[in-house]
Amino acid sequence: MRGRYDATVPFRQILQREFARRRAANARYSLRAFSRALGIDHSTLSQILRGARRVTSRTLRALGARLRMSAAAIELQCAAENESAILGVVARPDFRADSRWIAVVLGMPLDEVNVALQTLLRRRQLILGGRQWRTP
Amino acid sequence: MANPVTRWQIVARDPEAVTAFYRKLFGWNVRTDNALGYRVLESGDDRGIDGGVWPSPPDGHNLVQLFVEVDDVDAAIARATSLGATVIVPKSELPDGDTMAIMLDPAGLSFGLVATRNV
Repeated sequence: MRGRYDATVPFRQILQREFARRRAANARYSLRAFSRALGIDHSTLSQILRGARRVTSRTLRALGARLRMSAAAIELQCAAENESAILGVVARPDFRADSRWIAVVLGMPLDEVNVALQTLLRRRQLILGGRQWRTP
Repeated sequence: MANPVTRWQIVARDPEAVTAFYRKLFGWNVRTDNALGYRVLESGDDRGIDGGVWPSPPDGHNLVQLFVEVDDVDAAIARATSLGATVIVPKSELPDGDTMAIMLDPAGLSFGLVATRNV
């Protein structure tokens, strides 16, 4: 069910806020401790927090469960991350209007690309004009 | 134009499994050599129409849609809307050239409008 969960905040920020919250409670709480608590590789977490790595649905489901997000909230967040990643590549100069290319570039399963694509079309956040895709 | 139904589409939460099921059951050919990686199912027979499988969101429903060919998608949307339909996916020109829209009829069934690429 679509709850009241707000997925407009990027998951990266949710992680940053959670890390800040834990550090506020315990000044010695390290990134390494945070990565252990999340069950994720330290360098992967560091890259995600810096915005150097996209959060895949697989990672988001694992981390979301550790952060005690509800299943519905996790799925909404996965969808939002995928949609935002696609809008990001559409703006790239080397963009190719091809779901298979998007899937490779983002490391995203093709079906997730197409689900996100359809959502963006429904919400009119993306306009398909043949090989010219643009945001309104 | 007589507005024939030219394509059917299954929308499924597990499109790979659905595709495999029909391929095994009927021996249909599956093609994905298009810009959306869209799974086209073909019987190889002149009779009947071919279809395809599209992924549904995890919280979506499994369903079947029919695609009706029209001359002008904008005009068809306007006419459908005047008869009580609503637009789900607005007119979109796909990378391979077809123009389509997804509508909801007054009974709540979704269907597609498609205009094939001008030759």
